[in-house]
Amino acid sequence: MPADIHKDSDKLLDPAYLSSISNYALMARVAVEGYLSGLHRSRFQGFGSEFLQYRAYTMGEDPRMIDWKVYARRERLQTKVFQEETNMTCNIIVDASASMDYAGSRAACSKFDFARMVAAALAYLALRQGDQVGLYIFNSTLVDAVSPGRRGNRQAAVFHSLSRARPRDRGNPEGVIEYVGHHLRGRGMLVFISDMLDAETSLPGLLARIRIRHHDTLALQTLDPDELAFPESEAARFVDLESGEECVTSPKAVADDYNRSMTVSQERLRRAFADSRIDHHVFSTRNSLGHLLAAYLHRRTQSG
Amino acid sequence: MLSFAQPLFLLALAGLAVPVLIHRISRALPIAWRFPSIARIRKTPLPRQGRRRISDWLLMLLRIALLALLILALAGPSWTPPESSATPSASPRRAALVLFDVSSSMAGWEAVPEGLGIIESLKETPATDWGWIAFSDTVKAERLPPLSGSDPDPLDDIAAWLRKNPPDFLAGNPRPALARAAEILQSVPGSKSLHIISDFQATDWSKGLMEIPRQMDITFHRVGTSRRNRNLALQSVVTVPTSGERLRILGRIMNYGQQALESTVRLELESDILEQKALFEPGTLTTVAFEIPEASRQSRATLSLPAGTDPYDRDNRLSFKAAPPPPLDILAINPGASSMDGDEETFFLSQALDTTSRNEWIRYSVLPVGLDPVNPESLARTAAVFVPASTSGDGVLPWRELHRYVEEGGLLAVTLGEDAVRALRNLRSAGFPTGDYLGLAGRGRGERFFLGPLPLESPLTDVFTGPARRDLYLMGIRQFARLSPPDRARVLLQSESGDPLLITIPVGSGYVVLSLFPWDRRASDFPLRPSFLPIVREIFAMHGSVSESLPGNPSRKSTAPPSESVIDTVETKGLISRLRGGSTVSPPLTASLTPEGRDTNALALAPWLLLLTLFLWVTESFLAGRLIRQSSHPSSRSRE
Repeated sequence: MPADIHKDSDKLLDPAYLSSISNYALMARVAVEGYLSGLHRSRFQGFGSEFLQYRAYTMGEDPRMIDWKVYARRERLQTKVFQEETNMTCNIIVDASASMDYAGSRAACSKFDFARMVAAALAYLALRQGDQVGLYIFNSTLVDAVSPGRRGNRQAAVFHSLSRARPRDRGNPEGVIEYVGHHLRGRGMLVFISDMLDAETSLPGLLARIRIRHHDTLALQTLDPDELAFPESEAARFVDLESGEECVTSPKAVADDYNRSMTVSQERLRRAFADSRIDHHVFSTRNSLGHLLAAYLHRRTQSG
Repeated sequence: MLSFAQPLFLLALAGLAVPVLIHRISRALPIAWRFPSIARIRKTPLPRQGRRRISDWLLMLLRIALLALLILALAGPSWTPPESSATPSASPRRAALVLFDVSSSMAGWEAVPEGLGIIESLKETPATDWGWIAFSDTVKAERLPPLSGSDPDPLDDIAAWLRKNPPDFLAGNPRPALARAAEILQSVPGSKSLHIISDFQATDWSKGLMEIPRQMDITFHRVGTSRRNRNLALQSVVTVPTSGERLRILGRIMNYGQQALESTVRLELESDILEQKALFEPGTLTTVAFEIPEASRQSRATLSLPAGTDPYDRDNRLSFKAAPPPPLDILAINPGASSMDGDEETFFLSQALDTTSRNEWIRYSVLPVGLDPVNPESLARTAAVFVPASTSGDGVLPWRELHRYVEEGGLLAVTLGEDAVRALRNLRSAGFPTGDYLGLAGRGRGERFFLGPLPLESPLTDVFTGPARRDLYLMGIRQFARLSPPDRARVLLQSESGDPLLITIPVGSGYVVLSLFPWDRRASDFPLRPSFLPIVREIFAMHGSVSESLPGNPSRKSTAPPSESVIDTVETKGLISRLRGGSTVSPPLTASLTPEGRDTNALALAPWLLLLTLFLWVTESFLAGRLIRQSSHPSSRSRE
């Protein structure tokens, strides 16, 4: 990885930059390592119980990590690296309905691409910490699933599943949440990534069922800048991405109404999630991935 | 002062309304916008009026200006400063040159008397020094404008010259005369003008002209307009021998007019006058036939249309000798005159052509010759050359000379015998395509070969039908050279096994006919068969188009150039633009003009207007592109 990439972690977390990387493993690594290098000190390195490897000591590393017995025998400074072991499970649910396939002129990428990047980065981060990761992609049904576990190359399976997913059909989160809830074991986290359109009434209730099973739940709402602030332009014939219905209108005339309605809806959703003690974060596809990772780590710390 | 070379283009300015109409009609059309959810979007009526943004108005104005500039540029504007137009008044006298067309077409339609009348009227022009040029295809006579006004009037001079010299029998070409006029006038100070007196016949004035400097005024005087809608032209006469020693005379008459004409055609012989009425359709060539008895043969004859049939009578009369056309010569080359082989083939050929030439339009005469007469002069008068098998293997024959002769359109017939290898080598070394030699067939005693089916492309399929073809198939050949014919060769006869026996190969404009067996009795019974006569006749007649250009051609053509019989004329409006730079200018002619001879004061504005048009076009494209981008939908990246 070029040295200058590390220098500018903000750039590394920019969705416009990340969406240009087609390899999900590389993209997630760039995002997460870029984010962590921006932190003052790594909190999740080397405190596990399972020895992983020796590594030559480099200046600036914590001297507590030096294995002095090795120094006594070989007169070389070596540090011990441990694999942290946890029993946490992180389940990520990604919405692949047709409405996610939208990228306005102000967006860095489509909502679905953004959701995939977020899912990939979170999966990478969780696997890096030693957590088990499960991935569920849905639209009207469950499209693809990678169940959490320790066998095989989970990371590759998750990234492969993300890269082959294509948004289509209507979104039906109810089925997938029930399915995931049915298979939950022990404690863990659930990350739900969706645009949550037309689901402000049902979705908080569904996610609350997970919450009450001692699973921390993170609802990440991904919206396009056009949805957050309706663009004013010439007359247009709007076609619904999911239903295919059409509506001819003048965006200039309806922009205020739309924005007002959106605000009300978002407020209702925020309250519902708050009542269910579910973390709800709204992200525009222009936002940096750093905030998302921070939200996850915050929730992870509380859980851990 | 602003002037236009093509003022008619200005009418196109009416088209400026088009961009205005488009802007009035066009309105913001709803563009398709794929959106995640339309649940929060309510329907509204579309705006009724079109787009009225400032940028739209700017775009419309730009488009109008773009169109206007383009039209103005095409109209060929030029700007002459006021002081330049005031120059003529400073010089009291004016130099003028009369260009009088004396090409063949001016001999009719009362063109010259009309021209003389115009010259008379020109005399009344005050304070003018006249000069003149008479021209047909080149300058025939000229007189320069006098430098002082004391000389006798040159216009009297030209009138006298025209009365003495009738128009030439030549097609006109005004270009040399125009070049000379420009040269003369540029050496004269002050204002100058050019008066062109001509019928402006289309065939003469459609040729390339040259640019006349704008400093010189040009005035066209059209003459020869009287009854210009009709003209019959007697183009050629052909004499054809018929049975019973009679002679048929065919006259070809073209009606150049726009209406059908009925006229009498008269054939004047020394002892008799024959007349015939015929109807001539417009734009059609009609053939009129007369048949004269034996007594009238060899006499002088004249075919004519009566006086007054049409206003251009130069092409109405044709004198000729009422004799059958001279026979076409075929040189049969035989350097060793003592050899019987060559004699036999030449004898059979001569007999066959002599027999078939009776009662035919084209007659052939076979001349057995040695090597001496085979030179470019004699070949130019020869319709065909025959090289028999006894001679074809001889390397001393002027094969290269014969190759040049064939390339220029001649016909060479060669027969191959025992010496086929050498004959083919001779032909190949001279540049003839011969194909590959595969050996000699029929070396065994008593072996006979018969003809196979006629190849489809052979012209003999039309000649030999029914019983005639049966006789052809009875022909037996004892020996022939086997050959793989070259690509472009056409097989006329072939053996049962498919080997070609008689082929024709195109070379340049002419042909080589290669007979792969000799025409003597030892090799085949071909010369004894009745089929021999038509085959030999066909070989020499199938290339009739080749021999048409030869001097033996019996056609007599009119001395008046056919192009001068055309009644069509050119419009003077088109001519002025061509003379003012609308046509190509010959570099040597313009190079001879000094810079002073050009109208340096007049500034051509078209290039500047085109430059401005280009700039406006770029601006318009930029602005339109921006508007399209603005109005285009932001969800364009959304996948279908």
